[in-house]
Amino acid sequence: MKKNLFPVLAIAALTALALIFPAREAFSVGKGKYKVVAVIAYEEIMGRLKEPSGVFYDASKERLYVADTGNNRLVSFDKDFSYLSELIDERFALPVTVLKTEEGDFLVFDAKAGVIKVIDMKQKKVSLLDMKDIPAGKEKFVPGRFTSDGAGNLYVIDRLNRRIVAVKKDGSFDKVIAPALSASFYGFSDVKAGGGFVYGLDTVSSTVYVFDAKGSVVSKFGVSIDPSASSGGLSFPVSLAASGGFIYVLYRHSGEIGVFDGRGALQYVFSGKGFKEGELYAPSYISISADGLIYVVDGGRVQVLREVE
Amino acid sequence: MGRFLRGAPGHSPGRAGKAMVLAFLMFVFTPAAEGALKDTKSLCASCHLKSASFTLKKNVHQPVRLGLCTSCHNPHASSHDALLSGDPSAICYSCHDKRKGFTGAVVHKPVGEGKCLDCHDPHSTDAKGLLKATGAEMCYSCHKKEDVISKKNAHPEVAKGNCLVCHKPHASSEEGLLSKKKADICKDCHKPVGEKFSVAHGNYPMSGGGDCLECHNPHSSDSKGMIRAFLHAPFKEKMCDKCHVKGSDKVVSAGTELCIQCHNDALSSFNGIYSHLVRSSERFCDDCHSPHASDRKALFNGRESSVCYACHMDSKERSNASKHVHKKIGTCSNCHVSHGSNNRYFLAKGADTCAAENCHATQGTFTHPVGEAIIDPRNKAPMDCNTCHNVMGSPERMLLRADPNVDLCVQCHQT
Repeated sequence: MKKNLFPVLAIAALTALALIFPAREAFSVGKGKYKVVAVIAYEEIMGRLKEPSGVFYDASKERLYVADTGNNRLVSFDKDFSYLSELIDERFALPVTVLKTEEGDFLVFDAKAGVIKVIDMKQKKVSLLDMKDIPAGKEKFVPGRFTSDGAGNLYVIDRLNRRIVAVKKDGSFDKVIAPALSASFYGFSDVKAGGGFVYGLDTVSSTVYVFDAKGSVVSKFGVSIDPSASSGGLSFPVSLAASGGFIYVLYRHSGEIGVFDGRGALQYVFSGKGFKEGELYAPSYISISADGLIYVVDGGRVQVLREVE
Repeated sequence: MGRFLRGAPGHSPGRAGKAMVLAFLMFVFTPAAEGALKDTKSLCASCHLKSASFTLKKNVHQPVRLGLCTSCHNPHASSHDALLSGDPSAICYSCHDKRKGFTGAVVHKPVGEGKCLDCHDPHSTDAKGLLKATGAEMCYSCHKKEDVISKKNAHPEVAKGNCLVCHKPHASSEEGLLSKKKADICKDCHKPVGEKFSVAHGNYPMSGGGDCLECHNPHSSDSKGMIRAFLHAPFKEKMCDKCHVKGSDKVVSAGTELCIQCHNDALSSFNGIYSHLVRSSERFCDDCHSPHASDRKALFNGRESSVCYACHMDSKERSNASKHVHKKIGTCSNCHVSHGSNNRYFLAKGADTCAAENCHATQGTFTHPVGEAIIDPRNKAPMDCNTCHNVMGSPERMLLRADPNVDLCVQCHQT
């Protein structure tokens, strides 16, 4: 008899608790659902990735290219993420960031030399990216990560001058993109472009800047809810991507991906700190392809994720 | 699981708020509340004999003097130590307005943590301000005296223990809890005018918001003029015009160019997969280094930890909040390089950093094997110390990433 009463009492107790301590829906942000499509880390012929740092998905050829930086090479994969080939050339080293142009050439940031190089696949030439008539800043131009807007225009982080330099497809100068300089602005650690907007991330101040086609700031917002990592959340943003009107921010220390709307309202968070597939232990770069696949460079692996309903 | 945001709209009074309302109503409508703040000194002292001595000291806290023990203590029951009627700092702030002097851009650590009783005795003391010790002795209970005043020449106010001449004890708008802006703090006593001052500064103008503390140690120094211990070579050799237009505070080249005219390989030292090439200062190098003098090698702008934590505040917070932290965690350069690295943690010797410098020399000889050939089945990456240990802080002993008795090993060793 007593046994039969237990579920009734338990429900009554839970109901009472729910009435006394109502759930704090107004505070909550959903946990995004996602699945792991693929994890690229090791393949018998390819070997093991070593400090990969960038990915580029070529939708027209259905190829994924990974900057396998520690191995001084670019590696390619088919649409099922099976290894295809590698590109190694002593004329570039520590390739950070990779981008394939419409002409089939590759652009890489050579982190050993601190310059952007063009790998001409037809001519088999490697040369410095020719950026013409870049207006001098107060500091020497030291490039960092770069991106393309899909129309061939390039956006290159000018690290010491705390700005983004936009150049047209032919290498000619287009514009300088930068917020007003202040002591709380540390420069950009990542840049992405698309849909007429340019997105810049300042890691140290945990701030995302959204610029319009003219290079004016249209939105600026903080992306760390609590700067204290002790609370566990959204700490040390290192990379960002834009897709479907939302901005995805990747957090190094908390291993999370935060999804914000264009005005900076956090919509939901997914993934988290950990070593298992789908978790992130040392994430450094995020990119999202047109088909919605999310590529995250995480320590010595690239994880391909897809959000699910 | 939901994530909770602080201060999001729609916030309704929580459990604590309801409890406070309930407590208030009970207090107001309970007959016992009528006499709650009456003089209970003799009643309490009938058992608490020590309390009789409270009033014998020079400075007595007002409620103690008035015998209002129940203004801070609950005579019946409490969930706080010493039957306090609430959280200790909340009790203090119920009389001492938190907005008046206890908040600011920089808050003294014990104040921020609500630990008023670290410095103050709540009943009575012989020291002013109900401090537990007199003058600098109070400060030295946390700030090591030898770090402040061990050098040959001491600032007279420091020697007298008058820390509060320059510092605020609770909160300030200025770094270092200074009572004025860095550029102004010295000028009340040391007027930056006159021939002697001018000659001592090589006839260069010091009027442009000059920061005396960049070159002078305000506490003690082994050098004449309280100059800091490590000097930039041109500064030491009084070759100011190497960097400055003669007789002017203007520099000869803009930005980092000024530094790389001598340190020509400095910029390339930032090349690497990972780089600290970020900046907020007018001149990039100045974010971390002083162009003149410092008490730290490499002419760091301050304590090494504070230079690094200026950007990595969340690492500091995480370490502070962790039950276990690595020894000497504030000396970042013991393990990390600071410019550029091909190691994702900027470790000076990569995966061998822990075993280097005879710190953990036995690593690998009797513990879990690590190295390129030992692959973590979870992420398919070679195992190293970081696989199982989180050096920056952990709730687990030996800085383990998880409880070794519950879920550390089984993540890989599932059978």
